Amino acid sequence: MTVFLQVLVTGVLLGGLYGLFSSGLTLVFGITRVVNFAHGDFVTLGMYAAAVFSIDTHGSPLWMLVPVAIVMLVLGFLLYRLVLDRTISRPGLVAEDAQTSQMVLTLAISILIANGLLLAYGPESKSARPTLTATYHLGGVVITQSRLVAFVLACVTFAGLYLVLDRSRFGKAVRATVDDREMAMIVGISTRSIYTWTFGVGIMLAGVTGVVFATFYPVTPATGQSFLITAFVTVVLGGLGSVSGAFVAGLVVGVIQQATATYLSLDLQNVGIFALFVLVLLLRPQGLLARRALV
Amino acid sequence: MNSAGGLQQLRRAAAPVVVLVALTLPFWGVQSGASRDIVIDTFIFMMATIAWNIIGGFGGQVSFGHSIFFGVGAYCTVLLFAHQAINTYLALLLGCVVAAATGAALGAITLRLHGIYFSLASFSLTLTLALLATHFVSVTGGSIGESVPFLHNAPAQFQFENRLWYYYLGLGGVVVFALVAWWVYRSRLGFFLRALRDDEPAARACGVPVRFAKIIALVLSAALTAVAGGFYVQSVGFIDPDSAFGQTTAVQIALLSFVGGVGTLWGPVVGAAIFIPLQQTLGGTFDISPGLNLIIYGALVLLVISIEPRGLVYLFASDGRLRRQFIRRKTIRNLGDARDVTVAPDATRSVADDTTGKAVEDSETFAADTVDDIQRLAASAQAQPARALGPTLLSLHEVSVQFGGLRAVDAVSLEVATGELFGIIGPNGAGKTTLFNTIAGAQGPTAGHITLSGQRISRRPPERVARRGVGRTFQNVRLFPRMTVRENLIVAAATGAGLAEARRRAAEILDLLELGEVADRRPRELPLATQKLTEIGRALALRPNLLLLDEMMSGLNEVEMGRLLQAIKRLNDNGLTIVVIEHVLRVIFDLTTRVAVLDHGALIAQGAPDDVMSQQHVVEAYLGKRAVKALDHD
Repeated sequence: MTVFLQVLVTGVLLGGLYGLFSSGLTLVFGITRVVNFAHGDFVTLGMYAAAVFSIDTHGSPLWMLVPVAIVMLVLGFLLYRLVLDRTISRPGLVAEDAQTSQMVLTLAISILIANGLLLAYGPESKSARPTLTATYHLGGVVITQSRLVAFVLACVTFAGLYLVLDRSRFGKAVRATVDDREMAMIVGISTRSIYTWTFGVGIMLAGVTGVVFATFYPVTPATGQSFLITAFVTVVLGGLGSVSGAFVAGLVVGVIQQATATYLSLDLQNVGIFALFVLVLLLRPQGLLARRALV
Repeated sequence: MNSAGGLQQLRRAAAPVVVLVALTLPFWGVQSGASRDIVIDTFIFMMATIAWNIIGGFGGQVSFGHSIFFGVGAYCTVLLFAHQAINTYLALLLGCVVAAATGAALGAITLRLHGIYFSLASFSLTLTLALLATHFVSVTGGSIGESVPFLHNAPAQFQFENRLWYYYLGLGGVVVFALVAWWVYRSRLGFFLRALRDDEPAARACGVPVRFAKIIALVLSAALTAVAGGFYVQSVGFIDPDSAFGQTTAVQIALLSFVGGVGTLWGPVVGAAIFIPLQQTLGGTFDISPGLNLIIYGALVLLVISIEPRGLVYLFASDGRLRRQFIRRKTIRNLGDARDVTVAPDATRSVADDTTGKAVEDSETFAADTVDDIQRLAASAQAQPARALGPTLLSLHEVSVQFGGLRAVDAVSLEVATGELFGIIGPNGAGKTTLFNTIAGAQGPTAGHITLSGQRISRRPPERVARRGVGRTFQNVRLFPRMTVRENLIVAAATGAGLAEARRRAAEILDLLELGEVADRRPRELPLATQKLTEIGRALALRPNLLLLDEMMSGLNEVEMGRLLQAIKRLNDNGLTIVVIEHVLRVIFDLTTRVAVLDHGALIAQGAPDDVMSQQHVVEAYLGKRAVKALDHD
């Protein structure tokens, strides 16, 4: 029973972070219809920034939260405007062709980031200096401080995202664009800038998640790969394009992964979530929470 | 025309020339062992990406996990030989079977959903297989991998001392794969794949068995990819989880087609021929830091896709960068010609203009005009020549469609006789198109049922309904944009006949509808009226018993309407039963013998057009009570 509770707690705490970066992926997909294959690599970038900062300055990796958020937002803008947008605005290109080529572009970006990091830091794993090392014991269940803080940060950030999408003018414009792109354009919403912003925000969420992850998780240039498969499963589980669905699904994925790691084998933890993925596709492809809305 | 003909000849000569060069290459170009191995690798990945292109390119179902099949082929080949002492060729064949079965299972789960699910699932599956192959050390050798037991020289077990064997076998493999791909492309399956890639709902309305076509293509593609995997392991002598199922291989197979030209015959060949040698030379020959070679690789992919999103060979396509300038000049000239002859200038407006423009009309003038029209037309409409109608063809029994709280179609019952030209009218949002979708199978009724010649067609998938003989057009034209007018017709004709017969039938229809001149143009290049006529033609290619035409006249000018009207009349005169949804009342009065009026999903009147249109509640449904009162006061 204690083991089960431990699995549940650890899974939920980790799942908060899964939910956070997956909501970024699903946000970008919901609006631009682009599956960002480089999403995991942006998490890795955030982790490297935090880990390297903490090793070099002996400071807490969490100091990098705001700088990474800003840099990622700008990076997302630039990537969208300079790279991805070019295919959409190409005259005479069928929409599906534009979308697939955008996916290929994100694959290329993924290759560039992973190998850029390999070139710069080598294949060895890097860890931030240990921070937030306290542990709490609750009736046999152990909770480490770093994971608890990570979960709280994930929840706070997601709440911010939710409020922005639900309440702000920007959020309304985003939801209008999701509902009907042409209509949104007619009423004066610049869908191009909506696309640019959501891409930036999506990547920012990935980067922020990376910084938080760095407090307790070592990073290699290939870390993004395993995050990507987690994110894929999560966004489908939550219903493709549903931001709050993705967050909740992240918690489920975290628990399933922990359970597989604990009861089956540590190196098969992602096999567990893949099994979950297949089940969802078979039984409930519209996602666990059958809401088609963005938030 | 001259330059196009020249290009055609060049294209025809290209394949033999390339094969000839590849055949003789070891004698004058590739002589060192290292460079020969690079070419062998190129052949292997060329095979894999040609196979990928069958489902990913032709069918547009983009797999980012073809390494599943590559790895399965490789592992089966080596494991069955090493552990079970099964002959390598047989093992390779078994690998194909396993890969095909995996493909069928994956396809059955994901291909009924949107293509994106297939992309995500295939990518996730291959990474999962990599984990499993690493975990089960006793079976697969774990992360270290499995080596092919070295036999020095054993042609009977697919091992050759002289590596030229691998070279020529690889080349032979590429040629065979390319021929298979070419054959698929030109087959019925190829037409179906291209159609469903362009527009799946439209393909289903043409009777294309979409799920079946996708799964067959995936199974074929998977089996071929497994051959490439088996070949790989025999050539390299070794396989590990990462090179079999890892992300690099997964992405590689798809990327080669993408940069070369997705969905084309030459694309995969060009992509592999350029990018594999490049990657291997960068990685092996030059002693550069790890990572840098792939950075250059990634940067080149980025560059190619930025320049031409559809891949390198599209640079030479009719709408590619290199020829666009030429086309632009030609199009402007053609447009000039066309304007002089038939098409009025506003016919070239885009569909978007038409649909948005229509919605904003001043309701008062609209009301007055419409009432005028009705009275004038009702007065002038002569009694249609009575024609013997056949037995009931289509019948709806209490059909309802519910969307959440909205009842879009409300217990509608009606019958259409064979040979009739029946009209469905009603204000916007009355449920007319939903009713069409329900008849055509695109929308399941929540209650009631529909029969065609006494056989139930409701709750059947649209492709089945189409093959039963219901042809339809869409409110917003939905032709297959990347196929020519002729090919659009062939798709529909081929769902009920062999390809040769389908081609004949398409030619007949092109003749009948006078579309011969534009037969080899793509829909986007044509005026709206011609697109609509093509859509009718495509529905006719099904040899339908019943034709459903949804708002054919919207966005057309008087001249075009007249032509289309004539065409529809002629089809009906030849005995075809037609149901039209129409807003242009003149068309209703000119064409139909009977109309049904829908309002808020319910059938509020049925009968001869002039009878129905003079009923008070019909006029009210159309114009609103206030407008009618205002007119009465005048």
